[in-house]
Amino acid sequence: MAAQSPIRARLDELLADEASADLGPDEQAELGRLLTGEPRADRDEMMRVAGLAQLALLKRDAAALRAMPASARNQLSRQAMAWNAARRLTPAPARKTRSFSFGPALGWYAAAALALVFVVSRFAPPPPAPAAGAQRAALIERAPDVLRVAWAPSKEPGFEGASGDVVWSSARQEGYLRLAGLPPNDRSRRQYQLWVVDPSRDSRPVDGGVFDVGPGGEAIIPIHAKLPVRRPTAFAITLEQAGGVVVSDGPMLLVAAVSS
Amino acid sequence: MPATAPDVAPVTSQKTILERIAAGDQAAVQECIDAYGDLIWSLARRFLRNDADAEDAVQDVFIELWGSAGRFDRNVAAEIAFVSTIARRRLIDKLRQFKRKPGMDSLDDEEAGDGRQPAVLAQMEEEADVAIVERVLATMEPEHRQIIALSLYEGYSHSEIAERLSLPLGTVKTRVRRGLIYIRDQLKITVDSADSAGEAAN
Repeated sequence: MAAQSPIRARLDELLADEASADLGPDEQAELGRLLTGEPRADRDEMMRVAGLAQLALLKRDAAALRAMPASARNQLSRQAMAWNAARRLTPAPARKTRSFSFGPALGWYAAAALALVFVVSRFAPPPPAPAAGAQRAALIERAPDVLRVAWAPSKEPGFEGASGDVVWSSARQEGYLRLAGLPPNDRSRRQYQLWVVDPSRDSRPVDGGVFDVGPGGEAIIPIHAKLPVRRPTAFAITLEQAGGVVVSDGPMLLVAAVSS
Repeated sequence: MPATAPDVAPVTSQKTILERIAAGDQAAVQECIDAYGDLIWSLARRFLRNDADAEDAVQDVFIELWGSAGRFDRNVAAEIAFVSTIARRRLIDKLRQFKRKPGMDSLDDEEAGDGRQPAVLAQMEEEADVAIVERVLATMEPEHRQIIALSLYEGYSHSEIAERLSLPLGTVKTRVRRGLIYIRDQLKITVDSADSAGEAAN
């Protein structure tokens, strides 16, 4: 086998650490940097190998093979029906975007202040589909579980006039931001980033993707949650370096809280 | 009497469950649970060692699986490998979220399914890559294999393994890394050999 470059060897080590659930924040940042420089690296490969090893070990552990309890199975079936209902008529486009999905590294240290530790460039999600407005309207009309919450007035300088709302369907894992009055960003330097707070899955927020705002008018932005969101309690927007960050310490420019 | 034509098109047998979900086949969503529910449940229980956490994790895995069905590419990996990759990422998320501590294991051995036998062994038997990994694991030194199993299968952190086996943390980390890289390389060699044999045969 051909000799590896030191960078590829280090990348293998970090991907192996990631696949064995043993990647610390510093290593996650390093992995992000190395992956940015190695666009042809297959981020999923080592996880796939670990998954196959898990299967091989389960195969040898007959005592661990269990039928799912009826209660869990019924709950899943209800979820499947809700998922189908939400997807009906307007199938969501398949996401081919490559994302670094650093969900587990996200740290939501307090609602009052986002403690920011490090930044890692990531590929931005694709630009909003031209029909985002129509897709948002269809979601509101057809998703039985859709949430719709308005952005609270911001006290951050320059953002006081921002307004709009968030719509989100957990069954469909689809949602949209409607924004007006947000200052345009220079996408080569800074990008807006959405965070979704879902305490039912984690105390840390889910990265909802980065997006850009141009001059004037109202923007409809699709939400690209990097992890499944089930019961969101709030949505927040920060302004970050281009490509977004994994953990944010920036001020929350806009917040939309879901009333309980 | 001529046979009545079915009022729905027959399912294309070549399509996998995930391909059918991606194509909008609603029945495939439930079939996905039937096909992989026991597998993911068994993996989650073993990895998280807590029935309540496993149940929570299984819900997340399936939501992501259905939503990611369009990303499945049979030329990259078999469906069961795609499923286990998605499951693994979510299980790792859950492990971090719950921050399991030693002694927190809570598996209900009496918990029964709905009287069914789990239907996961046949799926794994059919997957060639699983068999390759099984063979590779069998060639490893027992201690190395044990470290791999504790880490990848039972969800122990490197430091927990080091403490449990009285080994330096660096040794555990290195063996997990080398083990994974070795398995990956063996899979590549086997696939490359099969490809070459196929080309020679053609």
